[in-house]
Amino acid sequence: MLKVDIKKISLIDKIYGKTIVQDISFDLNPGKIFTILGKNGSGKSTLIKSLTMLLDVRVYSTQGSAFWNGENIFLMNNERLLNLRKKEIRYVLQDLTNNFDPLKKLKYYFDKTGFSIVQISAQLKSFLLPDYDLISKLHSYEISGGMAQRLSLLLALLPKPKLIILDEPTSAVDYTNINLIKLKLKEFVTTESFVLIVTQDIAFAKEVSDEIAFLQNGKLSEFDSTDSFFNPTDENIHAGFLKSYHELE
Amino acid sequence: MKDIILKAENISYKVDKRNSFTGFESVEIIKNISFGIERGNVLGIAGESGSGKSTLAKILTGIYLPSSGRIETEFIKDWSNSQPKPIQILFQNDGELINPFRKVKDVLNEAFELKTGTKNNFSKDVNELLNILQLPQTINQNKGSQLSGGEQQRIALARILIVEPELLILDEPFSSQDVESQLNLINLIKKIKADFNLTVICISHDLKILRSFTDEILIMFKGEIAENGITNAVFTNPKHEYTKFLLSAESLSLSYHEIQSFHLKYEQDQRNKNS
Repeated sequence: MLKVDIKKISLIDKIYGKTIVQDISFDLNPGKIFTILGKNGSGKSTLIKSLTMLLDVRVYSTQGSAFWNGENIFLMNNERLLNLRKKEIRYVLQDLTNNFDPLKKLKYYFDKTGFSIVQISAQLKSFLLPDYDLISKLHSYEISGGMAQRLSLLLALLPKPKLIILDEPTSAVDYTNINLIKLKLKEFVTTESFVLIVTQDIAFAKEVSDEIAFLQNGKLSEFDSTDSFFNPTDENIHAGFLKSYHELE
Repeated sequence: MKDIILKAENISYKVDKRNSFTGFESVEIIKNISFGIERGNVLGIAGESGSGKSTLAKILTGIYLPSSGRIETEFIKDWSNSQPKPIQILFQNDGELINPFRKVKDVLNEAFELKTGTKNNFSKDVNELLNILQLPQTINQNKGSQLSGGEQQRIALARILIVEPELLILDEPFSSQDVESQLNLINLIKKIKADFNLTVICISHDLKILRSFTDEILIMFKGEIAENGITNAVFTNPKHEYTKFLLSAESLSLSYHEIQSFHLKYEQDQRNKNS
């Protein structure tokens, strides 16, 4: 369904230009939750943003291809791209409170979905968010980080996309919220839909993922089942990373 | 007789808050909190977002004045004529801990000047400190903007250590770090605690980290103390309902029903209190 073959993503700048990731290829199909684990600065966010061309072309150069149902995303025209991002591949990015326009009330975002108040109310309830009447009158800076996280996931899931991509979904929220996010993602996955997460949160990755790959120094290991990822051999590049994790236990 | 460095008695903190939904209201962020910390210990403060952890830290440091209650301290050195204070706080690392335009050398020199009240060349002391914090001496010439998040945090820590405080408060020092950096930081905190005879209060929402290096733990819930005791005892035999909930939430194995009923119960409690 999503077949990625990225030769290289690099910064264009002539002086500071450097390669961020290279020779990344993977093939993801519906029915599973996939996770890319990696340390700070390993290029996780850059990689997922490149998939639907969200990187600023004045700063980044991307070489390669990403096929969505046989169609190369990197060659899509703008209209097709917008439609793809609206209906088929949805993102939940980091720093959620700032992803909403602070001058707009949240009603603006509910109106944009095209769904009825009744439908949205039902979703708000299942995400343990305040009633529509209350939350629609608030601005994004008046809700907590945990609520912003749940609301972003709700808005991303509403149009029933095929793929949800999440960037560090657990970095700013507490355990109860992480539990809820995990349950909602598991519920979302069907034979037609799938999830891609990038994170450094090992405990979350272990609980939520069906398959995990490790990104280090711009290179991605192959996706492996969660069980075997957590029982690495010494040859696996992520063995050291997991060792630090077990040392904390 | 326990050697208590800081004792908080019935601390409360209220603010007036404006909200486009509820209008103007007085919110109690910290509700009647009492606890003490023994000299030389590491006290962890845990709790979910919005439970009042950071507010409590700012009250203990003297940045906020409590609305009511008192804080008693017992320090070894005489700090009465000292400009820097015996309780220092390392703020959450948001990438703005160090002035982006100033050189590390000047930032640290300033702290030495403040501590000693003299304008000397402290480069020898600065270098010694950089060694302790496992930073290269070349970092001296870097400006704040050229430092990574982890480096900024260490320089901020160095600046605090110059003051030679007796009580160090760390506010979410581990957030947005990968597990290797977290482990390095834990070891560093242990080392400076021993080298500088510190008592440490560490705020974190990460129970796994707190479990690994704190002596005592204080679990906060909606501005109150749910439970306070020896870390091991609290984690292996939690007494309070909220601690039990938090521990099961940590394992990420809560069912939707459990999350929902906790959420509804809390809302109900709030309504009962308000009516």
